[in-house]
Amino acid sequence: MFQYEKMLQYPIHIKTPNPAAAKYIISQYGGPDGELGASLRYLSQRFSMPWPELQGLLTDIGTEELGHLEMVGTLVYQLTRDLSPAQVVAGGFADYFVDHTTGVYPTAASGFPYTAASMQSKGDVIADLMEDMAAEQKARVTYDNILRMSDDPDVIDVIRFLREREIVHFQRFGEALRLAQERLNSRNFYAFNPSFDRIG
Amino acid sequence: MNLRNYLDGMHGDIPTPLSAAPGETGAAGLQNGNAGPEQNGRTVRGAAPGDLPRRAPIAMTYTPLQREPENTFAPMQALERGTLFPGLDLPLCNNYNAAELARTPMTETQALCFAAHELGLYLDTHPEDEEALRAYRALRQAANEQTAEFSRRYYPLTTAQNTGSSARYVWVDDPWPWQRGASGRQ
Repeated sequence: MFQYEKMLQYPIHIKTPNPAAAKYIISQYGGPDGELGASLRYLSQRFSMPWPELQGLLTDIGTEELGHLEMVGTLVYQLTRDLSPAQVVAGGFADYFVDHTTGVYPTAASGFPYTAASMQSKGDVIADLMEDMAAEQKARVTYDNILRMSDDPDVIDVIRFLREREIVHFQRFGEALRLAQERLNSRNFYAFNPSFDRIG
Repeated sequence: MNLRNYLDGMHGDIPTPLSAAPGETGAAGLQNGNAGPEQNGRTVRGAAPGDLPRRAPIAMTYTPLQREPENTFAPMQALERGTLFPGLDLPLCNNYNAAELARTPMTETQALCFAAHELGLYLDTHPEDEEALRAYRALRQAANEQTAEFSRRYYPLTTAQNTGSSARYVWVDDPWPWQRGASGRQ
């Protein structure tokens, strides 16, 4: 089961509200490469993943991603605090505001609501770990793009932290794939699926 | 690498070593030829941690294992940089968090918890690394003590630590983490 810790993984103190920034940062809350999809992907893939190291890694990274979801939600919440209706309109926030006020809702920056169609749990060790490595890269690029559009140090420091976590996780999933390769037949990695097929 | 070299590589060593930061992640085994052979149809990891397999079949991708972490950031700097490991610290356009986080009981707690978690992820894929395991246990113990001390002095960080003697159920009280100033109040 899960137990809540009443703290963020990394501190967040936004001094200046910025609804325009909140509108694109929310993509890492509910967008196609966001933290909700990351945590659901890893925590769901665990069940069919063979070998204890890989189950442990998916559990630990998936749990960390829930903490990142909380961090991105905190960014959106603090960036949209104390807005006047005029600031909502001037900040380009009206289309989000009309549906959600300043509630935090899992959506992509485009307005497309969170969908599990942007992730996969394939039940195959190679396919799932490759998906995880790609997911970390896609999230890293999203944070790259957020950094390119941000000028508030209070936001930038947090995004840099989250971006760096994607790189560490990419390395770990790559190592997980190596551990899987060592347990498969290197003459034919695709001879069977250790999550499903029973050999011998 | 041209195609000829690549095909040659299928029958021996991979010809081109991957670039890697010395002492962090690496593929030195490709150069000194100490990568392991195949045994019983399984590719055996190189002799040194981080090495790529000597025989690396096509239609697969290979990540060098991170070597034993000799140099690590101190917990607070690790939190600032987003990793415990200098070799994995790869910022966009070389812009990293230069400003130091304010030292508060909360950020000290966050730093120790982060460092222990980060080393835990390393151990997930390196469960036999005894040196890292010793460092992990020391970090985890420090994080546990810091969390318990914070909960005694300020407010419970988990429901398990919500065991004070006040007349009120203080778990519900501010600050919740998303509130501005939650990390700086203590």
